[in-house]
Amino acid sequence: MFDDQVLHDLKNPLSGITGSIGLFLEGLLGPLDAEQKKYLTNIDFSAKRLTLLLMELSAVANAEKKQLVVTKVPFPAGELREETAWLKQLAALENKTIVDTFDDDLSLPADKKLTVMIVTDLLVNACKQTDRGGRVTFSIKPDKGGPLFEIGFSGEGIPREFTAKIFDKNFRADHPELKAKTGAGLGLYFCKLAVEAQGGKIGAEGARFHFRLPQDR
Amino acid sequence: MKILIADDEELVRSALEGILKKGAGYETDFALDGEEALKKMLANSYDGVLLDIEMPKLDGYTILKKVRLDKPDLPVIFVTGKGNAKKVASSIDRDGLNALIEKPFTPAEVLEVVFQAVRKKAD
Repeated sequence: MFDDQVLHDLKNPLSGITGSIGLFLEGLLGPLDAEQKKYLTNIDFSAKRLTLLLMELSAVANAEKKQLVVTKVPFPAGELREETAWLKQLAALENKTIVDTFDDDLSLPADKKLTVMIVTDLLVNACKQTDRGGRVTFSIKPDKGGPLFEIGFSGEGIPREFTAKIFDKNFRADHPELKAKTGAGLGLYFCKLAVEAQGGKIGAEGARFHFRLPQDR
Repeated sequence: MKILIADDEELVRSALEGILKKGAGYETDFALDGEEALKKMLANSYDGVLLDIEMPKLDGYTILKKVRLDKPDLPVIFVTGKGNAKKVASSIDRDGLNALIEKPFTPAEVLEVVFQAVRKKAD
């Protein structure tokens, strides 16, 4: 999609933003009033969305060249809750709720960075699919074949004719509702590559995304 | 503690400086290209180095190889937008790279990696 150099060049100015905004929001430059915090948080969330897009582009480029590094070091599910906490705030701005139900101590046999990106992307997607006032659920169930991640959302769900294709590269639905909600067809393609690179499988049915990450044998 | 920040982009240097100063109270020094980075790493004693891979004159891989001949224990951390590529990962084993910070970064990420690398040296 883009060559490495373009991605690299985009990451430098973005680092200037994320690094500097973080100084404010992590309290390193003193206290902020509510209004300052609100607008700095807006910049921060926008930078986080941009970061996710860039990291996905990078990961897809690497995966397509068989160069994606997968480092499976088991980590507790609670860390996933922390890393995606900002999405709850973002959803609340649109009067949507994300409810996660899983055991913080559940050990996930996975690449943490990739898994955070996958879950973030699916939660963002699920939030887009649900209307204002809607609800997104996120669960992880332990299972013999490895933990099963499920992200559900209120609403009509993805039309059946598209569920097999939405993880394809550059998929754009020829469907007025879905078209606006699926974007350029990068995020879900990234999710598929990143789940498969960890030996897992991803799918969608109705108003639900799910994937499983198996233990290495 | 004194950390050398080697990056050819002012915005990146300045963000890293703010993070190290405000977040850890560290002193900082700067290099604006690869040659200056290598020269300063060899001439001064830093507690750690944040090294961009892609810089004018000398790249991070070359600098790391050269500096390891003289300073095997100096904590060197790549700060790169080329993360997740196998070439970067293999540098950790082959050339004694201590750690990696991926761009774009947040203060919390930078501080965690720097604290770990500097602490390992002190142990």
